[in-house]
Amino acid sequence: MKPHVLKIEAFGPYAGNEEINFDQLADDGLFLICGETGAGKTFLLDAIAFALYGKVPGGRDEKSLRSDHAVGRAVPQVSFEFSLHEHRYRIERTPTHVLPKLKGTGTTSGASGASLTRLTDAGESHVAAGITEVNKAIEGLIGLTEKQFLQVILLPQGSFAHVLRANSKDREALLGSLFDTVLYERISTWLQDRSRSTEAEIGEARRAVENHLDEVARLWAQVSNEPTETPDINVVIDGVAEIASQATAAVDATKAIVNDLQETKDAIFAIAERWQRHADATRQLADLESQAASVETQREVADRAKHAAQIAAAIAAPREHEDALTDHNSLIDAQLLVARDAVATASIVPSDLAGLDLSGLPAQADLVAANTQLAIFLERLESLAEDAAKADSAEARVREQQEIESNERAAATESAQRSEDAGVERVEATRDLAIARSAQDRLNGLEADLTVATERYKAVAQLESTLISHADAQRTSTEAKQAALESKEKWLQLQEKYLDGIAAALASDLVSDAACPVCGSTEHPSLAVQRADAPTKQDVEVSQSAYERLESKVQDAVSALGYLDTSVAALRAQAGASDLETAHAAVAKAQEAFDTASALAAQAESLAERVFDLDTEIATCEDVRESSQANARIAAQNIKHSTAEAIALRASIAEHIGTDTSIELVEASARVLVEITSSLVGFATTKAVLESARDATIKARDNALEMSIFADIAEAVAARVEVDALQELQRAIEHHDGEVMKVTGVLQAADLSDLPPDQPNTAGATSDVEVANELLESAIKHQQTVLDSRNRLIEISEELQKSEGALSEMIEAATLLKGVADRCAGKLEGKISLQRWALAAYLTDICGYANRRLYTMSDGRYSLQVDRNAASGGAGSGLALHVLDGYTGILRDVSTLSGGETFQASLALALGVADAVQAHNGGVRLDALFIDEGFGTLDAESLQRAIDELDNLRDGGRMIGIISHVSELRERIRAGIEISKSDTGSTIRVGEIAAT
Amino acid sequence: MRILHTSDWHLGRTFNGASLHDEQAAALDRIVEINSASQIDLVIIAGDLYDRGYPPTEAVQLFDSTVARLRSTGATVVAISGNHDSGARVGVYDKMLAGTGVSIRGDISRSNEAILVEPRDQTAPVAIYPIPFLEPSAALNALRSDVDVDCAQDGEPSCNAVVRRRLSQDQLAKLAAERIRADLATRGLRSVVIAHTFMDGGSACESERELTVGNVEKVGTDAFAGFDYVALGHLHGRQVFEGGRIAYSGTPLPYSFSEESHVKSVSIAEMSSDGSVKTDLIDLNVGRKLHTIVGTLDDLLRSSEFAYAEQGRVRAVLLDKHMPLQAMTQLQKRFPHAVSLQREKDKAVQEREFVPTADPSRSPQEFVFDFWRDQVGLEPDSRESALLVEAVAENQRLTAQ
Repeated sequence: MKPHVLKIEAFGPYAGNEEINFDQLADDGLFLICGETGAGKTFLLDAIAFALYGKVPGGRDEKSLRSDHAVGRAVPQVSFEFSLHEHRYRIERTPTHVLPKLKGTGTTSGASGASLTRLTDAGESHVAAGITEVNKAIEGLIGLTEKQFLQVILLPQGSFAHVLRANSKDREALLGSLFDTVLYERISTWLQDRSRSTEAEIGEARRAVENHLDEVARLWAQVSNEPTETPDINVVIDGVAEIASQATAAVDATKAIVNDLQETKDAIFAIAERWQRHADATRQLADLESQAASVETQREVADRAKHAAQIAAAIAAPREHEDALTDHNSLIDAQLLVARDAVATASIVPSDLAGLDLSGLPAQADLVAANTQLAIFLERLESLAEDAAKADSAEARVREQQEIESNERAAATESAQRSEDAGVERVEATRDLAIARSAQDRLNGLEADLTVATERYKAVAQLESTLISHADAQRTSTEAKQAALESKEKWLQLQEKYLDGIAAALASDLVSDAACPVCGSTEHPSLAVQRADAPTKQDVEVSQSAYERLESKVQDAVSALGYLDTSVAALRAQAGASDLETAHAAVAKAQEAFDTASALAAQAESLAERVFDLDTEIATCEDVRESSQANARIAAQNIKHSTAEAIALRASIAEHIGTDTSIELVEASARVLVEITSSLVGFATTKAVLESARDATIKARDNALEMSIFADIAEAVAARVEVDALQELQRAIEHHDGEVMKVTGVLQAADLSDLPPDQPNTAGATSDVEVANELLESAIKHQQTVLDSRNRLIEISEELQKSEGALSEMIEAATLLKGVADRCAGKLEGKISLQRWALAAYLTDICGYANRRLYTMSDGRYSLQVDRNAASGGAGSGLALHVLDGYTGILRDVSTLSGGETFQASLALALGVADAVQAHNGGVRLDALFIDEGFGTLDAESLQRAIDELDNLRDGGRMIGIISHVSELRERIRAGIEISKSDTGSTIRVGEIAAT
Repeated sequence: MRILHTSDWHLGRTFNGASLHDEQAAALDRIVEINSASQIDLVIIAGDLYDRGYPPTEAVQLFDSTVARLRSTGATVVAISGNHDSGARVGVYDKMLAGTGVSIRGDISRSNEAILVEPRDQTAPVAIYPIPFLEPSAALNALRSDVDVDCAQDGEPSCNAVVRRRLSQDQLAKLAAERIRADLATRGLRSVVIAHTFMDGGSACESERELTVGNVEKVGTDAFAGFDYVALGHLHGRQVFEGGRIAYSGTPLPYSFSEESHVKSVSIAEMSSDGSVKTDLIDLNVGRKLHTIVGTLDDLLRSSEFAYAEQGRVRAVLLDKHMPLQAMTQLQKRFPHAVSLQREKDKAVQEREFVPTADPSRSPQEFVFDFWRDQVGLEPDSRESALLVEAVAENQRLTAQ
């Protein structure tokens, strides 16, 4: 965990806003926190602890954390930014506090709060809020509880030696939280549990064996009625076998007795049965004889009934035929009624039918004739129906064609109208087109005009300015000329003077009669006189060149003027006589004309198109009109044709059926009539058949009656008896006869001859047998019980063997398990448990790391040792720490170290813990360490060594903050945090700490 | 001009708790002797006069009397504060001492104020510039001046513009040297610069304290170019650079066992009129010698081989396999000044890389077997092994859920 920024507001002694940037100090790595006593050095570390855990070490009341010097209603707050596991976080906390009220006097309390945010390049993301959540989150992140934090990172005042001086139990707790030994604890517990459960299993197995033995005793007791205490199973089995054989013998004997008794009983029962049979038969015969008389009467009645049944059918027959005939006649009457109605309502009735008298059944031949006529009539009606259909479709066609005709006429009219309209439009368009075209033609000319006017205007404009330039040029020219002239004069004058001078010079040299070097003359009349102000050749030349310059200027001016002349002339020619205004107006006008013409010309194309379109339209309309008219004519033709057809057909139909009815109706009634006549024909035939049948049956009846025993019909009828009743009678008679015969037979049987006079005693024999059977049953039961017991005992014997074998195996495995479990739990001979051993191994490593540092700090004298074996057993064993003093070779208890030595050892140990934790999986990275005091106990040399050691730590990138007022430290460590105390609270400065 | 160059007296220092005062007094007596006998023009004490910022009283008194004695021969005495000294305290009366022939400079801002020494041989005076230890927090403000040294780093502005950034010793040295050169240029004299720093290429031993906490900041020899003699302090062993132009005199006494083999001396530098320097070393041979003796305790106590070390300050390295009892007490019977006791075995362990036993790369199963072996003394038999393996595997599985 690496701190970055700590901000404190109104917290502890800090009244205002204080900020510590640890990154600033990180470069130095080792820094001092200094200030007066009570300034708040320790409180700085408290603030860090508070920020992370919400508690201040030293158990100060949370409410009192707000600074007494806080201004107004400032809320106490601590904010701590740190890095952990490559992420950056900020945690903010406020303790519960008391604020002065907004209005009035008195105080109000403020709530506590906490929040944890993760900081990334992209921004902040919320991790937890609220005290509980934040606390949980922090513990999970840092991996240390508050107590552990205070032992490993933040080493508060006075408790620096705690790790060293802690008792083994506390050390165990600390180590347990830093290194994961849960697995080993679990292994130990698991083994213990297994051991215990194996014990339980063994107990059960033993009990099973005992149960078996109990059962053996019970069975023996049951079987032998002799109690045995601890039976030997084999002895018992033998005893039971003995008893079993005895029981079997008893059973056999009893069985024999039972058989004998059974035989005797059977014999007696046989005789008793024959005796009984004889008695019964005799009685039965007497009964039958008493019934004989009534039976005779019954015989007679049955006989007469038979005869009556024989002629019954013949007597009944004629009546039946009479009934059938009557029914048929009523049918015929009904049908005749229907026929009369049908004829009355029919629209057309053919002649034959019409001529029949339907009050009674007409002759069959007449009916047939009427029927045939009707059939022919129906056929004709069918062809008439076809004609009607044809007439209907013809009429439909007529209507259709009428509609077409009118549509076509309308279309023709419309087209004509449109054509006319288009024609008018076309005329107009043609006219416009002509105009446009002419404008197009004129366009070029107008453009040219415009150009001319524009040019002229430009010329006019330019002319004015050119004239001005011209005037200037003229002036310039004149001036230049003037100047040149003057200059020339000057020059010439000067030249003269110069020449005079030369001359004078020459003249001075001149002697009479000597030749003049200039002209050769020997006479020198007018000698030039030297002038005082004679110019030099140079002067002359200067003057000359001045003149020449001016002269060339003149040339330039003149040529410029000449150029301008030309321009003016040209422009004048162009401009003509007009002035600016006129020229401008002319341009405007020409532009307007041009624009108008352009506009018109532009339209030309579209107008031409329009004319073309109109032409096309007119032509189209004409075509449409013509075709519509033709269609109308055709439609008219069709109408005429179809109308004629329909009329003809309708006339034909009316001929046959008249005009006030339809074919359908006529057809329907005709069909009905046909049906009726057909059925009437049938009826007539049937009637004749029925009448003849009736007559035949009357004759048969009379015959039968003559040949019977009866005098007349009435007698025959009276003698009748129901079939069922008759059968009953027959049966009764037969039964009686049969019985008589049977009984007689029985009495004559052979085995009923020699019988004893008295009834034999069956009951006695039966009871004897029963008693014997009971005895047998109980003997068998006894035997069965004994045999069962014996089998069970054999079973038990086998089971016992198996159980005892399994039990001894179990005991062996349990012993092994217990041994291992106890070993791992440290229960053997003062050894330590697995978990403890693991912790001791870590502690040994910690000491290994610590000793490297302690070696340097104590110049090789001290080293820390872990006591691995339990001295006195119990909870404290295995993690004891001792110090080995190289000078004496004796292991000393840590409490025997002096203050300075304790500090060295504690520092080494604290660093060793950090090293070990980091090396072991780097789960908790301890990048910062704060040490509050303790350096005062060291002498100068030891202090130097301690500082050197701390200095080495910075190589790992660790940051170490030291609170100390030891002045030697201020000499050595220049970077740090200075806390200044004042009446209004403390303030913090981070930076260079001056040497004292 | 003849210069006596000494440094790093560390008055008030203890050696493993034993006071060195008497030996230091003896060493200083010797130096005073040498000074009186050698016609010295200038005595240079190049820093670390005391061992601490608040030295003990007797140390202060010793220094006071020694300086007076040195001055009494007529030599100019110039001293500077070192990194062990508190510059402000050590140099408190320096201004008032101007002109007295003694200068104890602790104020960095006056490092370019020359002290002129007129040699006895009547040659031209020599300008002496004492540069106190350039303590980083004070040095930058003290040296800020119109002379600008290029100390641009990573686009930093010139040194004068740097407000609170830390400059390295090399940068500070260069800055101070520039100011001196500026002053020297106005004089045109031979020059001697006194400084207290770690020269690049020098060898250190255990007893030097780091100049700045945590940083071994070295100064390049080019920083002191252009001066005739550079008298340095800080490194405890005598050594020279550039053929003697730059030199450390070394401590007068050995202050740690790493100096056991050093010969302790003062340097006498003879500067000729052209500024070239020839150096002689005068061994001091004062103080208890340091001896490291190696052997079993028995050997050390009985063998005549170690008789030479009996009066010396002794560090014993025991070869015994097991820690002997009361070893120190016994040793001190023969070697009353035994101050350090170590075991060869422990030393070897210390030098090796530490391998933790609770090696995170060992599997829990191996760990459990280690436990068994350690506690029972035997390997577990096959059934016990099987049970242990099962226990480990099962609980690993449960823990993972």
